[in-house]
Amino acid sequence: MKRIILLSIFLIISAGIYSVENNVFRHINADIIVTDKKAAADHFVNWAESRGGYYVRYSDSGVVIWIPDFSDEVISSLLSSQGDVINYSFNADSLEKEITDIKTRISVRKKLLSDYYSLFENTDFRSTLSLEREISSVLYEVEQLQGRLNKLSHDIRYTLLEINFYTDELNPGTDISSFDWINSIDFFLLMDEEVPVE
Amino acid sequence: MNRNLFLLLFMIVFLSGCRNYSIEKPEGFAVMKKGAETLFFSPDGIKMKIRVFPNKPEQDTEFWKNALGNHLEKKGYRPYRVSEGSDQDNTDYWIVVFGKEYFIYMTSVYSNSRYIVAVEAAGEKSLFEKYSSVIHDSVSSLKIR
Repeated sequence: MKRIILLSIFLIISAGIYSVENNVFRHINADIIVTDKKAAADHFVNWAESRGGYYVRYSDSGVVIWIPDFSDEVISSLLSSQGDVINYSFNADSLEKEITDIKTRISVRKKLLSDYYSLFENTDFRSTLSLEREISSVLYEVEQLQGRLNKLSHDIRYTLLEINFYTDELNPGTDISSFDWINSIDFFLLMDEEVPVE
Repeated sequence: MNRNLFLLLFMIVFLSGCRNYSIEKPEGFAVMKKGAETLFFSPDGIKMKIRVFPNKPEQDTEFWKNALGNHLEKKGYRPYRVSEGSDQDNTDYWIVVFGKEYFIYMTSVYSNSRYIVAVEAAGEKSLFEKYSSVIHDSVSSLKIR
């Protein structure tokens, strides 16, 4: 009996963990130094499309792609295959609460709709019109909630990968500002600062 | 006459030591002051410099931040995005290649009707990230008088 209780507790906890992990939105942001921005953009977009993903931004400055879930190793090797990764951040946000909330709201509205439909049988013309208005408004709300739920379901099935491109031509040149003090703000002048020996 | 001269000299000496701003030293940094300029050095190479300039022609902080940002972009500095929580309203981050390493260069501008205070900080990327929170705290403590 004790074993059954323990097993049940384990199963409940595992189910909970599984459900939370499945309702996570993963977002990766990376900056990489590439030699050819266009080639790098093509590579990432082709890689995503060949694996069931797609792009939402494609430009010289970077790409934004949705990809099915892959391990960190796969993503890091994908990024480093195109250049030097100078910045990498990973965020995982649980959407569990929002999904549960939307599902509850949909279910409440569906119950309400069913109640409205059952009222139709014994109503006069005037009440029918007012019921139709109510039904139409609740249907609109359900559609909106369902749309949001579909969007969240998409977000947890994929990983959002935002990649910004830099080239190694990062050495600043010259530009003269009309304001004198601005001309004295410069990385190289700052790096030349030394602690004086007195 | 001698008394007036003495007072004048006293005022000059006294005022030259006054700064128009105050800022807390980032934890673990050494400080050096040169007139109205303040320099902070970390033991491993991060440098931070604070200077004050007259606000002429008088403009607000947003104007000066944009003017500086535009100038640096025209010079070829590349904006660098920092993680959430490390960003500050009046601060921009840039990435620069120096030798064979990547450096982060931070510029921050504050102003009141009389003065502009410019804060710069720079260092090798991984080092800068190590100190980013103490630099952030120090910049947050800046007050213009």
